[in-house]
Amino acid sequence: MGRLKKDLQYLGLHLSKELLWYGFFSLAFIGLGVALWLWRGLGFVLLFPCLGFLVFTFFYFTRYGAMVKARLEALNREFVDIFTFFAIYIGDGFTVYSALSKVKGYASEGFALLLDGLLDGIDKDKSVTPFVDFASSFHDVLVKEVMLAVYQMVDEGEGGVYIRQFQKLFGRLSDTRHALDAEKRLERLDTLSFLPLAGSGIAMLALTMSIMEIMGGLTDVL
Amino acid sequence: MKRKGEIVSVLASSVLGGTAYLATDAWYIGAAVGILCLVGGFFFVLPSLREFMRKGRLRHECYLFIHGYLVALSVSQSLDKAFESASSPMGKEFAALSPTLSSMQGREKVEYLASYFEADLYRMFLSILDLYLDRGGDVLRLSGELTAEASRIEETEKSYEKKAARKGISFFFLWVLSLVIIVFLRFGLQSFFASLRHSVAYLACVGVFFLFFIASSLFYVYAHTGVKPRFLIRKEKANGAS
Repeated sequence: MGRLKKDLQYLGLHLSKELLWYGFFSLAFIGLGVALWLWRGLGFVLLFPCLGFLVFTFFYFTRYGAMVKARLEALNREFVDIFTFFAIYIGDGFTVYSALSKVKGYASEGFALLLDGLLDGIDKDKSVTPFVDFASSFHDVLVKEVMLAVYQMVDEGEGGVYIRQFQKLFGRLSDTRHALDAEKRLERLDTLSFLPLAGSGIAMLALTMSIMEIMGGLTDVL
Repeated sequence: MKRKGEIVSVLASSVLGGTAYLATDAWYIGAAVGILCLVGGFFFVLPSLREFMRKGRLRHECYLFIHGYLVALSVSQSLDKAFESASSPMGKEFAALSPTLSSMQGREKVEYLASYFEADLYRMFLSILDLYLDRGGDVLRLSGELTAEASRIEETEKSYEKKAARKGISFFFLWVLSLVIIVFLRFGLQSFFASLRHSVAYLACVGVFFLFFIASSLFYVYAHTGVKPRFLIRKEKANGAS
């Protein structure tokens, strides 16, 4: 429950509201089950709402973790996109501060807020803290390394060595991100390959249930 | 040939509706499956795949254009010559912009293309071009990081598309096998079928099978293309308005 609360808080959702929706859908499944029971009596048909309810419950509560993961990944992806532009500006002779201000134009609303926080932090505090605070919003260790390299550019002057260090680290992060991104999309397609097998399972279930129903009918006659 | 997708969609819906009818001997299940397939095909699968292909084509064109333009600019030092050189390998849709572009100046032409390519990298390319026009210097050195990133994206997407196509084919064949199993129930167990076709449990299971097939196909298309239905609705509204 603690994990669920944490995920809901991160996503800006309310537990009571989510439970209310869950209760509403659960009642719909119960209503369907009762309607089928009244119509057909106790039988295999009741398996459908029961299985449906189980599948619904599983997906309803596991989706929050997936949503948090997706949001963190999107943030990481945007970091690479935005810092690609930052790397270009830095390579073209802009200072760290002006390059960060420039790339804000390419960022989403949420990311622009993070950049604003970083720029404000740099204005007030010349230590590494604003860079570390900014990096703490991302779960990739490489992002933290890149931000430290950016800080070194500010702290030690924007000379060639630090630019090259930043570019090397960032190139690694970008390569990793593109490769992981493609791999993840392929993995998602891979996981969907179980669907045709589940379809075959349903076909088998159709056969088994029908034969059992017919056998039941024959037994009644005998 | 422009309506090839629609023809394939109608044919596939007819085949699936026919298969559902064969498996159940119930015309209403066959009709329902056929109609659902047709609706899914016309309102989700076709627009999603078209949007996916359009994005892929634009990404590739953008990559070619940026590379071609920068190299030609570095050699000729002329915006018009660079534009001419970079435009030559572009597709039909790009060529359709020619009448509009012909009345524009060098910088204006590339600026206009920002709305055509719809890519952040293209906006970055424009910034670099501005920087080059303001300060001068070696345009290839200025754009080193940009071209490296564009190449990374292009390579990753190419490799993804190849692998995803292979996975799509295997997904399709696995479903064909499942459909064969469902049809086998009728022809392989003919003596049982007379009783089966009146069994509510059997009809419900076959109905669920086809619903599951349609839902999983739509989900697969969504997972592959990443095009959201909401976007499609907005796009269709915009097209309707224009």
